[in-house]
Amino acid sequence: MTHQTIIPAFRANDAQALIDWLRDTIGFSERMIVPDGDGGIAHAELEWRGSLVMLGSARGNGDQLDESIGRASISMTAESNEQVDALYRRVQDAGATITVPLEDTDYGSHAFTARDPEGNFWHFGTYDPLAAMEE
Amino acid sequence: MPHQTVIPSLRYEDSNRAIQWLNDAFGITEHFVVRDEAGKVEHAQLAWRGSLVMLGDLQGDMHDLPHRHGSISMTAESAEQVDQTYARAVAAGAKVIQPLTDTDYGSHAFTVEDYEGNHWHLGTYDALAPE
Repeated sequence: MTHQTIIPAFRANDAQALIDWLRDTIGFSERMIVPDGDGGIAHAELEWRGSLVMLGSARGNGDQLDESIGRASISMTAESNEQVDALYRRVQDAGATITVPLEDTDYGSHAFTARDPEGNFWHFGTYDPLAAMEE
Repeated sequence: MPHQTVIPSLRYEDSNRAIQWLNDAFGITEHFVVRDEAGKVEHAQLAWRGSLVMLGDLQGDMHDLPHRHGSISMTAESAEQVDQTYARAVAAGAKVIQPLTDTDYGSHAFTVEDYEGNHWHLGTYDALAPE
């Protein structure tokens, strides 16, 4: 099994605020932060359970990728029910919009979906679609 | 290094068309696809180099998830894989956003846009390479 080779990438209106939120609320760690020299973030790599997201500040000037702001949808594989429960409390405490409340799905996942301050969708669940590939 | 636990998810007008196109353009294959009786995709997991991207149809999606302008970064195993994938993506009709180049951070890379506006970056730079 290789490590992650397909990585979600997105831009943010306030990249530093989003990085802070993802670190403090979700538990991402900052693996690489490249400032853009103008108060923004040129490129950031944040790590959670050995996998990454990449993000950067909006470039402005009608840059096409800026249209991705708030439109990312990311599925996160949790290691346990307890981790999902703890994340659910933290996301609620942070005031995030919950789009799908905590539930046990018909496919056996303990899961919920919430939006970050930029509007991106984050799904957390115990269902691991790559577990079968492990064997 | 654990396997992928952070998985991008995209919405398409017609996931069956997208699945075919992503296979033509990048060699991404079906890992697990749930279709209804009419053949419409309810949920798709596509695999490439042991990682996944998830797809679903836009219409009828209960959670009103975002559509278009998704952005995905893929890690290639070699410069040859980047070259070959660039050729097949262009042949599949991908719109070139950044032509094949050697970046200042040492990646042999390109970025293209699929037919619904999502961006796909492929390069040899491996952000998770062991130190």
